[in-house]
Amino acid sequence: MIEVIDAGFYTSIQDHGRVGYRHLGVPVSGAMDQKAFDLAHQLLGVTSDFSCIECTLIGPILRFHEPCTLVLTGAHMQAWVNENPIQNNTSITLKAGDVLKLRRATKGLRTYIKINHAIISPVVLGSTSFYKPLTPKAVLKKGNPIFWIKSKKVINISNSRIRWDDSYLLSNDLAVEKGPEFDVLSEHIQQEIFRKGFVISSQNRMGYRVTSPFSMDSVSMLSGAVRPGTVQITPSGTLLIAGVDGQVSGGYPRIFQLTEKALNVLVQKKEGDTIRFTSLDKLPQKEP
Amino acid sequence: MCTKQDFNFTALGRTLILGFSHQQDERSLDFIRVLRTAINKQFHQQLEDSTTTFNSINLFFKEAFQLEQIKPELLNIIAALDFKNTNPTTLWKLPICVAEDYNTDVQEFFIGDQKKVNAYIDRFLSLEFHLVFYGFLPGFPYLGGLPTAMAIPRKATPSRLTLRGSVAIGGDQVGIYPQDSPGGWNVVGNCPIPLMDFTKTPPNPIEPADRIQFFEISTAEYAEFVTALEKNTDHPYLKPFAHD
Repeated sequence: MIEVIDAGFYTSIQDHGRVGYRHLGVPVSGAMDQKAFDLAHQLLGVTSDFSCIECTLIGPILRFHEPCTLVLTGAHMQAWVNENPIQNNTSITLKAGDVLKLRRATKGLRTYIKINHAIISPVVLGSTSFYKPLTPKAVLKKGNPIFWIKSKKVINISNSRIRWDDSYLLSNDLAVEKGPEFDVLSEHIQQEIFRKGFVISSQNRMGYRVTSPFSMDSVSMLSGAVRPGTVQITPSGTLLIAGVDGQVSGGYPRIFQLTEKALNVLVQKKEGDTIRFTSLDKLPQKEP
Repeated sequence: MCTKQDFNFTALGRTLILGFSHQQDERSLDFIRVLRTAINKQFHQQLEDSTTTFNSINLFFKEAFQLEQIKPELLNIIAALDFKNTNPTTLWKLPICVAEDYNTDVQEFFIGDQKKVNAYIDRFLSLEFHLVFYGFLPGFPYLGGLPTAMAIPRKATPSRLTLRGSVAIGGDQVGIYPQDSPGGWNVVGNCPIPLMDFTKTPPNPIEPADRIQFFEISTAEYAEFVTALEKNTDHPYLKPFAHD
């Protein structure tokens, strides 16, 4: 059992998502950074079906009442076990009573805590991922106990063949493909949008809002499909980039789709960070 | 809309968008339903999910796909479609309370002209809508079938709170809010039946192309229903009427 002593800023239980219910308007949810989520179970040698704890900006303080092995992936946060500093991407063995303390993120935004047991959380439409009001809770709160079912799988801790690369946490470049409504952008904007950096004005699991100087005429269109990483532009020039809890359809022009790697880069960015778009498509080039 | 020329294909990451021109009639809706079913059947192994909007079927693939490879397969499905309009759609009758407390937006739109408000609501209750798709929020149905003359534009500034159950009008679309939410649509009444129960699989029986009609209930009946729902007792409204 895990006791939540301090829940941190925005901490939730996530898995690989609620797949297959978009036709009912249900977003996929799941871990925002799927790369970090996958790395965690690979490093631990456990099934990808086990849920993890997603921490945002400031991590939680957790007391483990039973022994387990865990790993931290994704953003680097200040992290200790009983006041001893610990590192990401390394298996850590905890004894009963040990306290894991995560505080401010120093590199990236979202950290994943994965243990070698199956965390118990209500399953709604095939997933434990927190998404209110489908699930009773949006975030973990102080005092909420987290229970687990012991996994019999023996872990080979000496298995260090898995390579990891956290350089994406420092990247600001988002590789994109053109979206279905890219052509609504004027030729000028089509060029400029790849030359400028843009500042993130706010973010949550539903999506990122990014400020741009581009204003455009209102485009009348019917709502279309949106998936995590779809970039829409509003008439006032705000870029809306869908997150995993984002709506399954949207009514603004879809100008870009982030690659899956780029989405992992984005979700580790916080308010105030600058991002740039880089094109995977061949675009009409004009002499500068 | 059954020829190849009427469709266009675009990719949005691992989503393939099969686009067509938007037509509001029931035959088109049924065609989309039949086509989506046929695609789901053939691509069952490769798809996470598929959705529809007004003018597209959206295929969410598990893995990256090559558009040029999938396109001929989809065109073959379209060409081979056995479309005889044989699948009857279901008519669902949903209760709605249109007491003043529940239609302040329509009151506002008609600047308190009670005659106009009543005429509008009477007309609304006589209409038959059809489910186009779910979007915006989990279980939020987009209903088509509102005549253009009855369209009410979305609010310039969205309300901070639109209550769960609100039946609302955004342009010529009608929606039902499955949860409390900020909302820019104009509320005409409240339907106390939760359309989806996410603890059940499948969570909802009303499918795209199905028809929906509202019938008026009084404030007292509304309260009675809410009590029944809270106490989890039986109530006729809990079982929406399905007609052929």
